[in-house]
Amino acid sequence: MNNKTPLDDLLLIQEFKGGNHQAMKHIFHLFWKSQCFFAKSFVQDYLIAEDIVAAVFVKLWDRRANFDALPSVKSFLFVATRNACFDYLKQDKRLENNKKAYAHTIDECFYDVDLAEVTKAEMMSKISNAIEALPSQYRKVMQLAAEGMNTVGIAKEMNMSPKIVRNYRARAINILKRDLSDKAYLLLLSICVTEAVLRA
Amino acid sequence: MNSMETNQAQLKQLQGAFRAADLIFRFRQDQLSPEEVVEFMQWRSESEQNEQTYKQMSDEGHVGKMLEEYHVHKRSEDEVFSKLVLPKIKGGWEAPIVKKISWHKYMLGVAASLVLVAALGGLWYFGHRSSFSPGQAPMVVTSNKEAAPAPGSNHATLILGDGKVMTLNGVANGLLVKQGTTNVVKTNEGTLTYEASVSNGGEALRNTVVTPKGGMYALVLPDGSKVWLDADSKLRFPVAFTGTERVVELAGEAYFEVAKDRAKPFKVKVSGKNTEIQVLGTHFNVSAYDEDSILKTTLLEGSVKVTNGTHSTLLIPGQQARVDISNGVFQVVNEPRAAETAAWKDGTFMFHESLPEIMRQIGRWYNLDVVYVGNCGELPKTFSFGKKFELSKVFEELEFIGLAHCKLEGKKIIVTPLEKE
Repeated sequence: MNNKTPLDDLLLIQEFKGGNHQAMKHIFHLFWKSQCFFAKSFVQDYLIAEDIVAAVFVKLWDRRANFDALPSVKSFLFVATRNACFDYLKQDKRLENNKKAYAHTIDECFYDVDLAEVTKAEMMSKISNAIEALPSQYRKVMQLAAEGMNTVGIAKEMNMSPKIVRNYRARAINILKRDLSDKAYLLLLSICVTEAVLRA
Repeated sequence: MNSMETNQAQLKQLQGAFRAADLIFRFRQDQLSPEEVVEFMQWRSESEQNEQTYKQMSDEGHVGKMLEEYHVHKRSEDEVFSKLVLPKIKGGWEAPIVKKISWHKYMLGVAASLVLVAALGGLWYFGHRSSFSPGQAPMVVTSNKEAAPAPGSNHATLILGDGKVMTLNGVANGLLVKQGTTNVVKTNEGTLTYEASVSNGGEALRNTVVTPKGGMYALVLPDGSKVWLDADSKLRFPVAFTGTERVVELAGEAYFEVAKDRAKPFKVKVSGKNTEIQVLGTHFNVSAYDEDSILKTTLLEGSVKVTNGTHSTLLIPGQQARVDISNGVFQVVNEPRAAETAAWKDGTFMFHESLPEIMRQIGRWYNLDVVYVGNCGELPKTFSFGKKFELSKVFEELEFIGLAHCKLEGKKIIVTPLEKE
């Protein structure tokens, strides 16, 4: 999770239930991407997936009184999105051959493949959030490295001498090791190690 | 049928899927507790779909592509919210939320941010685990006569005070035999309990429990101490602790949870290695196989004193004493993964060791010899496998993790280095 505390989540839900549009926008931000990702596994088309998910969020708003915590919001979204995708697939006759367009009536239970998509959407969300949580200077160095810059280039760009960039890397590694989570440290480490790969 | 409300069954399914994502995510970060590793392995073996999901989430190329897709949209988030959602939500109002809730935004253009995220995601996520390159299925060549080697199970033999040997396999629960005034009871699958009556002094009989390769057994000693014996191990102990000390002898590997008794220190003597571990009440793992040149004692809880020859040291939880038998060197290291060294007793072998150590344990559990062809590297890696795994699955894991390629020939595992990309 990001730097939010459970208290922030509680406040968010309260505001949401109370009808605050800002809270709705924030919840939308929290789940928009993973719901679209999930919907795309059923309907493939980006536009249709986005439309479906947008409609699901409107339904979420209509039922906001029923939610006491974010996890229940998340669960609702997955169920509602899946059902909406099924409704769409049943209506669209062009997609009759679509493997995911189950001909029979919608079952109450999720199929294994659907749950797998849920797990994947969750994973994407976690990975994405973890990356977002990295400190900005670090991300800047990595962004530049990812764009193919070597140490000299990064030094020019960030207005430091190459010696300092190398130094910064070494110090950053130690700081990260000590203060940040393992994943951030590993990322920096792997960047240093695979610089050549990135340039390819 | 109301398709918009969630019901209990669906909620439970979803929670399972969320839990799976959490386990996979933290597994890749080496952040799972031993119990969670077991849970994770069970989830994977529950269905082919689960295993597939895990494989996909561990394939660097696949995850990179998925991350790109995750961030690609036809319309921006703000556009969708302001055009498709906001106009339709009725009965609300615009108001700043009292506490500051900040959310990050990418300041980069779409193309650049895609590349950034994909690259970051891949590198970060795959920082220390090798990616899976689907190649040949692991080879398990079996002759016509023998079945594929089965994983180990609860097998052991009991040697009584008079030398009589009893097998513990397939024995029914209940009183097995009396040794002096002590009842030897089989209480559970794979567990033997020694119920000593109030001691009447004097020398008590000694019993020995022996596990073969591919065997594992648990014991409750007459003082209530619990011992889990790994494969190819031996524990010799009195049927009642009548003396001023509680002394047992170990060869191989065992995990101890020693009952507190300040009046009687508990001592583990390691057979033939001139090493003794003294405890007051505590949980620790002793690994003392003949084939391993280093004798390891890892302390999880409590306090122990490890003595080898004239060297002695007091351990605190999270430390490991390492005695090199070949040269007598005595070392104390921090073992942050202390709990993992004993995970085998709960059904999962977990290692942060070099390949030879890992292969030795596999050989012990599946009762096979190990032969190396070529240099397979000595760097320690994190690796785990479930007690009940089929051998072919262990081989798959070894390749997956990037340790080695294994092939079974008769009763031998042939280990070769993986091809470099």
